[in-house]
Amino acid sequence: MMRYEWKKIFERRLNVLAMLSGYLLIGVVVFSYISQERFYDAATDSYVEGIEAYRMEQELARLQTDVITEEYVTELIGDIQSRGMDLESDEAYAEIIRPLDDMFYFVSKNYTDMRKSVTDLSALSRVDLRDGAKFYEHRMEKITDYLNMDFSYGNYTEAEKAYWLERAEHTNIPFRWGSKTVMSRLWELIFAETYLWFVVVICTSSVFSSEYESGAAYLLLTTKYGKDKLVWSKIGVSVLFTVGYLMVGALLALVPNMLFLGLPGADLPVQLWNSVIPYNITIGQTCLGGFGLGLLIAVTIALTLLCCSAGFRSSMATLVIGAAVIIAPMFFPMSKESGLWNHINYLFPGRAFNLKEMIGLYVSYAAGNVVISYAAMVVIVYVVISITALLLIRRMFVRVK
Amino acid sequence: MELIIDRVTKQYKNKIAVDRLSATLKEGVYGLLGANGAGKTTMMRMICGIAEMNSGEIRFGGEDIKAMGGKYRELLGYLPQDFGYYPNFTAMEFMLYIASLKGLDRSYAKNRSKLLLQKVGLAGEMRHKIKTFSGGMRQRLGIAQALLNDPKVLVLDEPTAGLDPKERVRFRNMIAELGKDRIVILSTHIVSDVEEIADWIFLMKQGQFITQGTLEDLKEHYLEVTGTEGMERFNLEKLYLFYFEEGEEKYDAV
Repeated sequence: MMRYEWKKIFERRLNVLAMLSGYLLIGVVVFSYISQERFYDAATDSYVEGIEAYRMEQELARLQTDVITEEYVTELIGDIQSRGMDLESDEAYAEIIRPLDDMFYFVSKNYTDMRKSVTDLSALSRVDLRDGAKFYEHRMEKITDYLNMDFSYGNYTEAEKAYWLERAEHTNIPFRWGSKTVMSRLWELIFAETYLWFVVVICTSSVFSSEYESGAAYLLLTTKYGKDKLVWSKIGVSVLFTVGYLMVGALLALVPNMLFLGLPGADLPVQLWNSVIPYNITIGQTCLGGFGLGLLIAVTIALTLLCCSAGFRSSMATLVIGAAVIIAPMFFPMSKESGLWNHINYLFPGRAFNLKEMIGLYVSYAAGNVVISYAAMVVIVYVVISITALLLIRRMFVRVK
Repeated sequence: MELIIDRVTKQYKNKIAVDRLSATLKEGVYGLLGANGAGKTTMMRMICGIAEMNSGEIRFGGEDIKAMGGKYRELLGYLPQDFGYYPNFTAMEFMLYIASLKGLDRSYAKNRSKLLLQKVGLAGEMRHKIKTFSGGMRQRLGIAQALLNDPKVLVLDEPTAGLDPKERVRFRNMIAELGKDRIVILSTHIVSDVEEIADWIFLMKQGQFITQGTLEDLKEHYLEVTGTEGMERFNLEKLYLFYFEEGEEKYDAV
């Protein structure tokens, strides 16, 4: 039975077109990431592009240090401060920031206020080095200050503060250092899989509704398995399609990366993306987790749309709903007054997929002494939605009118 | 084998599509005759369990068909009116797909499909995609799929629509043959189809049976209501026209 459901998906011209376009898009993004990477080579005072740029970035990281020790950071900041330059000036960019590349931004970010979304370039000029840079101490102070701040949309509860501090304190330090550029690009590719969600929307929106639109539903529902096995077979195929399509998309992104660049930096701690991240995971694990989260969200979207497809019996209406669910929340602003709204807003697909961002945000859902982290809440919410949709799909499809 | 329709009613908002209909059907061909909107399709969908009834019950072999669920659907063959086919499926693929939904074993389904496609004159086209079929060919394919599970209750909604005169004659014979050992219910607005093959005819209007019986019964009924002499010149079309064209208020529901 499933064979025929596959056939229905793959013989719809719009579906095939959407599938190919999705992969083409991933291909273009992969190609541009690989070919357009730029690195400033101080020795020749010129920019190197493509695979060579990645190689040189790794070489630079290797020369800088293996581990972010207090001594290394103190020496680095001391050197920067001794030059007496305005770190926001073009001159400082050319002489200090550009040659240090990622290291400068990483260390500066550690001394940047957590509420600031961009790295404070001049933060390093203000670091008091009399007792050393106190890099890790500052990290904890910064996190503590943030958790104790007054926010117009509501403050952290004592339980939340304790939860996050405990996590942050148990982060493995000192951080290992290396080039994370390849993994950062890979993450962006994984994030680009959001585009593939639209393909999932197109392909699943018609799974049930097309049977009603063509009138075939009246025949299918009178067959022995029309009200059970058929429904499960359609759901099974749709979920497998969603997972399979996204997996192939991920492979399309991963394979060229592996072939041309390898996966350097996969084993580095995720704190190299943002030192305040309170999780003991590597960048590679974060990418994998992010992909898993994307897969879960995509499957939830597919199941929800199957539900709409069975209930509304209109492919177009379902398609519009699916596209709106993905696109519209991306434009929902964060509120300055309502913490509740913000906590809901965080859970919409576009935001909920961004694991890299999410793990450094210190967003949690608290009820009394129970604290659930943002990532865990996303998993819970999407699993609950998926199960609810699963339970409703059959009822919607077989509901006679 | 008995299909009992017991005071079945279906209402759509303010419109009563089927109004307290009752009938007992045994092996044979039953013709449901009525103009468009008379409630034929709704009635048939209720018999097939795909339209909810507001009140009443349909029982097969003494059991409520709703409670029987898959067990009843296993005995059912249905040709819906104007139903969509999968244009990119070949005739054989379509038959095998429906056979899998009917729970037929694959090798049996293959042989049965071949046989039925041959029976409806599509043996030469079994590997052709349905999108290349004419309306009549699709209708024949629809009839073939309805017979896949050798149903005990065969419901055919406008089965001869789209068929050319030669094909219609062929199908009438086929349906008459099928009615020997099963319940065949066919709806149509083509009077001659029903006249030729139905053992029992229901005339439906505004959700009610305005009259029913064998062709002989209906002749007598016609004489009764019109007082016309000359029974030898009677045909069902006259009765049909009497009720459906000459006056809206000419009946009391039976």
